[in-house]
Amino acid sequence: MTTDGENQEQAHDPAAAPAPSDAEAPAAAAAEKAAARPARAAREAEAKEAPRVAPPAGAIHDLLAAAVPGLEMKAYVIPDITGESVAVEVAPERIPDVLTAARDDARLDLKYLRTLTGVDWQEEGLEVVYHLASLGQGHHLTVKTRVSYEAPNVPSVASIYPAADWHERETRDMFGINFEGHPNLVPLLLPEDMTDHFPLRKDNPLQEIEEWQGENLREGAGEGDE
Amino acid sequence: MVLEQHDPALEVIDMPINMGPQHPSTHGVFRMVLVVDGERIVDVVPHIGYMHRGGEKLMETMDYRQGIGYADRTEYLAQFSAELCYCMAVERLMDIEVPERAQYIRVILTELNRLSSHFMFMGAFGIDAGIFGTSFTYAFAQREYLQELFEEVSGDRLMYAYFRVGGLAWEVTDNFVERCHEVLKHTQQGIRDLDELMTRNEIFMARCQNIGAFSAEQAVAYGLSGPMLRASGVPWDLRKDEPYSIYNRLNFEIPVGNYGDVYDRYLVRLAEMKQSVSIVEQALGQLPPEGPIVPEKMPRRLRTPPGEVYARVESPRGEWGVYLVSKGGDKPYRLHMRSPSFCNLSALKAMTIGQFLADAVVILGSIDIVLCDVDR
Amino acid sequence: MEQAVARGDVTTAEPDTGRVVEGAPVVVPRREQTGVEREAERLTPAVYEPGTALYRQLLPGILQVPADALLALSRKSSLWPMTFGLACCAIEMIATFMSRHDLDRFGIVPWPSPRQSDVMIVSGTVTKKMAPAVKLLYEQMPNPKWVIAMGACATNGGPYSRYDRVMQGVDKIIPVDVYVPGCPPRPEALLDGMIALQHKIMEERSK
Repeated sequence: MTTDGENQEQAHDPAAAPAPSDAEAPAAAAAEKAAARPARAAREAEAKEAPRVAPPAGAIHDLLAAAVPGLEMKAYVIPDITGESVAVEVAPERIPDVLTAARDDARLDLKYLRTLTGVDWQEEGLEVVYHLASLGQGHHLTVKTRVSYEAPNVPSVASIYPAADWHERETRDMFGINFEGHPNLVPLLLPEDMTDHFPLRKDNPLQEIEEWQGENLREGAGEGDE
Repeated sequence: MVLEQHDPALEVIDMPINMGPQHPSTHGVFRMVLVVDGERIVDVVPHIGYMHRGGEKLMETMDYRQGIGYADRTEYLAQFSAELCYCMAVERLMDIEVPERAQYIRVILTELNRLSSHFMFMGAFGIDAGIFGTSFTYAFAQREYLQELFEEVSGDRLMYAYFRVGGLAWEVTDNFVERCHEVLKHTQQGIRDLDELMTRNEIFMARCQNIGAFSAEQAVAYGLSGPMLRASGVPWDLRKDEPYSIYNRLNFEIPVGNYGDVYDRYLVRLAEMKQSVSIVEQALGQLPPEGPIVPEKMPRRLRTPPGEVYARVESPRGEWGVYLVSKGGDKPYRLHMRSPSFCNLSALKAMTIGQFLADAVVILGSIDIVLCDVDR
Repeated sequence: MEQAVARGDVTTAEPDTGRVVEGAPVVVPRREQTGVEREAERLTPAVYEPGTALYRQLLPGILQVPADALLALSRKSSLWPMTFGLACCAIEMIATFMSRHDLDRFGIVPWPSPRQSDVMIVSGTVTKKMAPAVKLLYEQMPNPKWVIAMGACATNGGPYSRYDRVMQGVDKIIPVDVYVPGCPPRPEALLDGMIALQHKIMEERSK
């Protein structure tokens, strides 16, 4: 992956520059991005999320919009090792429709589910991320959806992509997201008696190094880590 | 036959057999409960999680140099692939360009690591198929040559931690190219030895052919990758289809199987080993004799800008990926490792139902799992 | 030795009082017990009191010293380890058994079955999910038995000790004789550990 190596000291966002080329031409994207990068704005020292840039028209999100009528989505560009890629955020209820269309549509042909995972954005809820790829067409798409802590329910896609079966079980173990319609949502990675607090949520920090496990449990308060 | 007519008062049940978590053939702590009807497997319930050590959670508290050690320990047979993927993800977010000499050395070491991982597969798979010890001994003798070379370069026999974000930790030894050629001579002899031992062996062929066949559509639907996917007939290799580093300058072929059975997976891996030898020789020829191994303007503190990236490499087992979400700062906010062993293992049930009990071990061996990668 | 035991830990603890009792059957204080824990309950290990072996009661005093030495010599010269490869250390353990750093020349033959092995090499991280199985395998080994904790993870949790589903060292559930540090330890280090175990067996021969 050869991109311009200048200006590394500044906290620049790869998505801040407008990307005139579409998602499927990595070499052109790199060259044009370097040429079209504007002068640096003030340094965003505490930026928490990258500002979102809409992908150019005709990229894969438009194919998705054509395949699923009436879909409300937010599409933006994310970096990828092949150049740039498109991420699409949809509502949780539309996930089965979107993924079925992605798999069955002839131009999208996204039959390969690379991975399915979750991210814990504390105030903004829990996010489920699906990485899809098309082995025939050579493009890929990231689908995201966000749920709240109080109602972390996402429809399961295990019937659409058999690969999602274990990934959903693991995401449920780690984040507590409930996948409705999953045929067998039992714990996969965690021991059976330690499944009630979810390790990858941010409110379950690791122990400090000096503290032995179980030391603060002498009084019998709580279970697991502090 | 007399046995066909059961006494109606005789109750016939399917017997559950528990394999693991400690078992000589389960490649680590993996447990499967096989429900068998006579000799035929009716159901498989795999239980994993015996090696779930929280690698992803721990990497959220490690900065981008410490995390390389955890990537090593997760994929402990293809460490350079894991390190390469992790470094690629961070380099993409930070827009760092790796110098050419470092890229060539990275590719050389990654392909040698592919050889050592496939040797481990050959050894362990021979044991699963019934060759008690010979293949393992040959394979580990070859691995020792490779591990000696890796130790000279990186300082450790198994957990190298040699790649850094931006390039390499330090320069390779002076006689690196000669040592590589020496090791390749041994390796080619080792491949020939294992080939002659196993490939045309009648018993081996009878044990492996037409076992656990998986079609191309099933393989894609289950998210398989690597030699499992290519043995089922799908010509997808990340080094060719989504090239990273300098693979687009090297000339190599992708072996693709026809039937998707266990024998095809073995043949695909054997052919991949020969291709890897060729890749290493080409890369050694193209290696720039001198040059920097980190970029000149390397930041002292590795801070990524906010964003996300999904980086992936073709590891010996398949697509090893790192989904890195960063909120700024020097530690990742969320790091998910896409493990090929996890995805390949999820297809175990579909591959094993309907086969004989004795073939369950062979099928599991052909998936070539690394338990720490499955459980992370 | 009595000590307060935390809930959720796998130890030989009485469920009501939480006291640790030597040689008691394993009772894991959990909400529901799976098959492994029920099986571990049924296995009552024989309490092995030092100095009460049969040959000591039969032989006259003057012959006990050479008998001790002979038995210790034969035990240390053919230690059969149960290959308990859990994680990355297993690769180095296998490399130690293979032709370059041959362990067979010390009489050490890797044996998959716990019923016929002498020493258990715990190589790799022990998680809380795996802990009942480790305890069960230890109880299944016949006396005399020893344990080598290979690697940092088996010693004290290693690089994964901060995660709460990782058991911080295998010595929380079984008694360990030799600790081999390293991540992973070199085959020569594991060899050193086995030889140290042999010295220990020889030194403690009067037990």
